[in-house]
Amino acid sequence: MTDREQRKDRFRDRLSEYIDGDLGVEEEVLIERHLERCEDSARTLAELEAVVDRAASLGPREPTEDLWPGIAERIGARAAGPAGVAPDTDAAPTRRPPVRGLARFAPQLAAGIGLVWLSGALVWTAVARDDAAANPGSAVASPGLGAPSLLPPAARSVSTLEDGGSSAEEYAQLIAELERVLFDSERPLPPETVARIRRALVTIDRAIEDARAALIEVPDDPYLREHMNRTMQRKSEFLAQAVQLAASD
Amino acid sequence: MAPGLLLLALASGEPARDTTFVVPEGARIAIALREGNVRVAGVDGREARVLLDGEEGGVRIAATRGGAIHIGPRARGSDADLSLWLPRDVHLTVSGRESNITVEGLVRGDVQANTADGDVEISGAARVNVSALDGDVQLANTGPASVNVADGDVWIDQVTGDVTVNGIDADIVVTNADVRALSLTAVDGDLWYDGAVYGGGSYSFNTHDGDVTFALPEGSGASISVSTFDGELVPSFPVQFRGGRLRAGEFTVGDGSAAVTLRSFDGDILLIRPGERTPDLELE
Repeated sequence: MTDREQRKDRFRDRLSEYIDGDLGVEEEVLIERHLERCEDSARTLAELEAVVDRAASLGPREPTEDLWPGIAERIGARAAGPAGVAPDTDAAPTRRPPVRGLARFAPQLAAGIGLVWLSGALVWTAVARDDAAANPGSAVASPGLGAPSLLPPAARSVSTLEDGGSSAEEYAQLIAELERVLFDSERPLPPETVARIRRALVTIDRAIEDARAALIEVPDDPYLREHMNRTMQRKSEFLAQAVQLAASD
Repeated sequence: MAPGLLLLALASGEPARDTTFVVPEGARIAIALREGNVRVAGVDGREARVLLDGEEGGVRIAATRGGAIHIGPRARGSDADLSLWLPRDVHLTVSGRESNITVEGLVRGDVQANTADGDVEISGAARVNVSALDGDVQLANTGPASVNVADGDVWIDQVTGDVTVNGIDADIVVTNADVRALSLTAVDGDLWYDGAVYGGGSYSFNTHDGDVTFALPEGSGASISVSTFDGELVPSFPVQFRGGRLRAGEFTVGDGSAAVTLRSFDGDILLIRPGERTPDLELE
C-alpha cells in the first residue's frame, strides 16, 4: 500500500468519529482539508452519514449477543502472552477496525483492565490503534519496561489501590500495551520526541526499581506498596498522554 | 467538496500575514503549528488580529462546522511565529511541537496549551490545562489549573481553584494560592506549597525523589499524614505523631479540618509557616 493510500485509510478510519463530533478541532480541520481533495473519502462520509441517519430512525434495540467476553478474552490473551517475546517486525500492520464498534465497549474495556483514571476514548484509541497486539507474536515488548515477570513478589501480591482497584501486575500489562501502541505506531513520532519520552521513562523506571528494592527490604510496608503502584500508575498515565500526543501529531 | 462539508475560509485570496476578523462571544479558537512560538494577548472588544512573523506564507483561518475557529500557518510545517490579539472570553487551544506558548489576559476564557518542546507561560485565564514534554510552565492569576509536564519545572502563582500538577522530572512550586483541592506529584522533583489551607480542603503531595515543603498558615487546622522511606519529617513547629512508624505517621493541627498528605520516597518533608522560606526555583 502506498503512503498516499495509507493516509487515505487513516482519514477514512476517523470519519465515524468526525460524524459523531468526537474529534478535536485540529483533527476536524485536517479531515475537512482531506475531504476537499479526496472524492472517495467524501463519498464514504456521505454513505456513513446516510447510515447514521437510517440508524437514527430506528428505535433502540438490545444487542443480539454480548461481545464483551470476546473482548475480555482478547485482552486476557494478550496479557498472558509470553514476556520478552521478540518483536515480529515482519508482521503486516492490520487496518484499524471501525471506531464505533469499539467505542461502544469503552466502559467495559476501562473496567476490565483497571483503567479507571483514563478516559474511555483514550482506552479504545489505544486498543484500536494496536491491532497488531491482538496477535501476541506481533507484540513489541520493550525490555525491562514493566513486563509482569519483572515485578517483585511483594508487588505482585498488591491487590488493590485506594483509587483504582488495580494491581501492579495490571499496571504492568497496561504499560506494556501502551508502549506497544506508542512505539510501534503506524505514525511514528519524531525521533526527538521519542527521545524525550524515553528519557522520562528512564526516570520513572529508576523510581520503580527503587521502590522494588525497598519492597524487597520491607515487603509489608503499606506506603511502599502504594508508592510502587502509584509510580507504575504514573508511568501508564504518562504513556497514555504520549499516545495522545502521537495521535494528534 | 462534498455537500455539507463546508470549510469556511475567513481569510481568502492572497495569503494574509496580518489580518483581523470578528470573533463570536465565547468562541473556541484552536491554534496549531509545528515549529514557532505563539503569543496571545487578550483584548477588549470582539475583533481579533493575527500576525504571522516568520518565513514566507500566510495565515490560515478556518471555521469547522463544529463552530471552532482554527488558526495556523498556511504551510503545514512552516517555521513561523504567531502573535494574536483575541477577545478575553475566547476558549483557546494552542498546540505546537516545538513552540514556546505565551498567553496573557484571556481572563474569561479557558486555555489549553500543548507543546512537545517549549515553555508555556499563561497569566490571566479562567481555567488552564497544560501539557509539555520538555519545557517549563508558569501560570499566574488563573482559575483552576491542570498541568502535565515530563521534563521541566512548574511555577504556579496566585491561582484560584483546584490545582493538579503531574511532573516526572520536575520541581513544582505553588505560591499565593487560593486552593481547596490540590494534588502535586513528581517522580524526580521537589514539591512546594505556600497558600491557603481550607477546612474540608484536600492537599496531596507525592514525590519519589525530592523534598516536600508545605506551609501551614497559623490558625489553620489540618489532619496531616506523612510518609517517607529515606527521608524525614522536618517541622518548624512542634507536632505530635499519632501512631505510625518513625517515618510515617499522622498528626493533627488545630481542628484537623483539612486533609493533608505529604509523601516522599527519598526526600525530606518540611512543614513550615508561610513566608518562612522561599522556594529555590529558577525558571529560564
